[in-house]
Amino acid sequence: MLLLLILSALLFGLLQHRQGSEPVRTLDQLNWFNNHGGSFIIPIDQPLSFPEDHGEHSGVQKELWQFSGMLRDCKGKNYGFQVTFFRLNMGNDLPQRQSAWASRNIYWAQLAYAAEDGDRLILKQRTSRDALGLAGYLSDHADLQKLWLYDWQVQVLQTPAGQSRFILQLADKNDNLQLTLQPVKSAIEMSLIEQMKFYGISRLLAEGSLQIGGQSRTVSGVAFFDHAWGNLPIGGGQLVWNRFFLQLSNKQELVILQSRRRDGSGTPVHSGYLIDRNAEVVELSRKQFELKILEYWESQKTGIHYPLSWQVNIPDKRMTLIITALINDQETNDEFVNWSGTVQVAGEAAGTKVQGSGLLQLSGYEAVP
Amino acid sequence: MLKNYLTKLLTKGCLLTAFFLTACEQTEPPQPIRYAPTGPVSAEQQRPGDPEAGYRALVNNAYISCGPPYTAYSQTASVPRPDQLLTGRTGRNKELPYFLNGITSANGVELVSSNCLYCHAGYFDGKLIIGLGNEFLDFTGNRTSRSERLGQYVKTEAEAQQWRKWADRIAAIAPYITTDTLGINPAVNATLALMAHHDRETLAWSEKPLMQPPKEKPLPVSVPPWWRMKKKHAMFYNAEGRGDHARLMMLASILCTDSVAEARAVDQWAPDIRAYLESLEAPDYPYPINDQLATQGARVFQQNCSACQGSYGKDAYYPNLLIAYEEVGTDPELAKKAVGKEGERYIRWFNQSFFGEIARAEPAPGYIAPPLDGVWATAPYLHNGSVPTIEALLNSPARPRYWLYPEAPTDYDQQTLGWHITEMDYGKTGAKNPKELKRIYDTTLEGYSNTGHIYGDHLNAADRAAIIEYLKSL
Ligand code: HEC
Repeated sequence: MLLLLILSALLFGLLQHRQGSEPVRTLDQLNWFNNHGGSFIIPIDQPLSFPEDHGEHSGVQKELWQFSGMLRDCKGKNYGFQVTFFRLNMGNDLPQRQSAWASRNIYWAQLAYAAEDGDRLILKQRTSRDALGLAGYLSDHADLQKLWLYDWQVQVLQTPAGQSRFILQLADKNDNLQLTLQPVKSAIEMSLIEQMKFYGISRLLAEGSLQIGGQSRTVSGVAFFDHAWGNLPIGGGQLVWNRFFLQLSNKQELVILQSRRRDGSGTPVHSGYLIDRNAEVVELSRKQFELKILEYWESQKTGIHYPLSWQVNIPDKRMTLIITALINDQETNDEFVNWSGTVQVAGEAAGTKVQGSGLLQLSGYEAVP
Repeated sequence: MLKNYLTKLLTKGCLLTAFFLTACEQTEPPQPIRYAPTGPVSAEQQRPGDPEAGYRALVNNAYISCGPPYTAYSQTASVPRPDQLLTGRTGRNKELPYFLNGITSANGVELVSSNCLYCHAGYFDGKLIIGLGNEFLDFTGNRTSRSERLGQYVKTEAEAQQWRKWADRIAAIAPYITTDTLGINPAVNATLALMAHHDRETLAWSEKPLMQPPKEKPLPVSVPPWWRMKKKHAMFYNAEGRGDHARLMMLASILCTDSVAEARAVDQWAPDIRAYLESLEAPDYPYPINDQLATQGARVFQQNCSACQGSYGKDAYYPNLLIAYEEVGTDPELAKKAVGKEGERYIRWFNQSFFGEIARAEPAPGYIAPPLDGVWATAPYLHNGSVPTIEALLNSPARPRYWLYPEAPTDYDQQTLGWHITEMDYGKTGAKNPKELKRIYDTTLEGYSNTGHIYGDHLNAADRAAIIEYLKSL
């Protein structure tokens, strides 16, 4: 259910960043895949198993990996980042060809970051088919899984103690993100429909370096990882989504998924998870919390008004949080327009002050005429 | 003419505020409400129907005329298991699980609509049994998340219109169908809420309720098996469903019925569905039965139970007896509510609507003693599902006050005739987590009480065991 916004971005990727022998794909063709697309494996309803499930699920139609978080350099300056890998399977019933050019999957990846004093989100994207070893997934022994697109890669390593570590390496000319992410909480499943699996790791410690425009700095921070596979929707259909993945200084995390109808009818629905410092997950029913929009920002490019300042109240937990964008312009102005960016959090939980950061994803918005 | 027009105006005016609502109701001369007495329920004429056509209609037709677009459904739902597929289905229905019918909307969109088997088919011994109540449905979550979020998979405007219509209805009834315990069925409350949103005369849908809706929290109800209808002269636990059973059954499908014309169309073949339901027989007990003990049990049963529950076998006889709730002593709330002040507006609505043409809502201050064919398959017992086994039903001190509701019909106890449960020493207030909370059946809560029906208490253990063995043979 999540992250269509990424999907949208990536559709754009598929449309705009064709490489070499890539077949031309129109949106219609992709929708065709979406609705009829050959035969695909539907994720089965069984408990998640790691580290395997961090890796690729080759027969399913679509798959998305997303790392996001906030990093800080030694001068105390903050940077938000998002790393996305997406795979579109063109159909398990495509004839198997022996040729090295044969491919079944299209990969798309994006590196996005924003400096707190920057004026907009910086985006780098890549697309390739899995032919000729240009992109793909490999798991040649249990301790190492690797997902790559040209020289960009995500590795999942197993430590001798049986824990997973994620290593991100994405370099693009003068920009370069190298991060090691170490989970401090276990994965929580958040699947909402039967044909899709979705889980998140709500807190990972991030360490590494971020090079922007040739200038490199050592960074550290916290990150969120989520991974979904199966029948992920392309585009938002009839819905507008607001998704929050927040990490608080009291070692709690809050995930909120809110949707409403695009035509304004009906009542918004929201669900959420509060992950405790000891990794206990409380599923929040919609009666348990409320979300308020405090302020909008209007994009000059698209004319869309995005709600970039929010208040969340969870009376049961005596929690009130104010959420604001790290910088306003974190819009991805692609085939499908959306806003996906880093936010800062300040407020109170159980009587003490908390701060935090996280990812906010707003999709399905349209310009008000 | 003029009077009619005025009444309409007034009724519309009524919607403005609750104050006017009461004020207006007084302008219509209140019809006297008829309640049924306790005692024997007499048979009433039923319209003839063809059971085979009824089955086909049940598993193919559009009696519930809305649902999510097929395209959205097919992208999100899991592929049905072979045991979820039914024979006798046509077109798209062949590939849908038993609880969904594939239908086409007026604007040509293929939809999937939930059918009667969603609640009225259940598993026993790994087999799907049509007519067995599904006692394992989970209505504890708010149902709108799913219906709303399906919108993400809805593409065209024609599909979107259909999706919105369905999702709006789900949203309207969602507050009334959210239960606090697994297995509890909210169908009764759902129906009352739907009546409140449908115009009594025209059946047109209204976004705002046209009369005061029921209390949000449903009283606990367990789903009865359909094969009882072969013998029962009235429908429902309190036997309030009088007159034409086919018409009464149609009330369960009014989610998206928006005009009398639509209802009449369904009414053409509703008698076939009734005929099918009333042709159903209880399944055979799938495990061994000790015949000698069962014969002994038959004698004990005859002496102690038959007066109310009837007799079975060669000289079968079912007395259709309605017992006052004070007498039977089982949880009174369901019956009380129907004959109380709160029930009046629904009785009026029903009796003055299209449904009331040939059927009547006529509750009695009691419950009907049901036929016991296939009773071993229907745990948990009593109308509110408060007693997990027959053994406990026949021995009231042994009934658990708090127990953990089983999640699936997989672990049957042939000694006690019920699903294995875990007895708890705390109720809902002591629940350790949300999952446990929804699984705790707490008989101290209103409507959930496991009192009454103490007719087995005076028997000794051997006699009880004999009755249990006998019940397996029914
Ligand atoms: C949401 C679950 C649900 C659905 C769907 C449903 N029912 Fe029921 N049904 C119930 C429950 C619960 C009862 C018991 C209500 C009572 O007796 O007060 C019941 C009672 C009945 C009875 C009376 C049985 C008896 O012993 O008195 C009949 C007949 C019946 N339903 C037919 C239908 C038909 C036909 C449909 C489809 C049009 C249908 N039901 C749809 C839950 C459901």
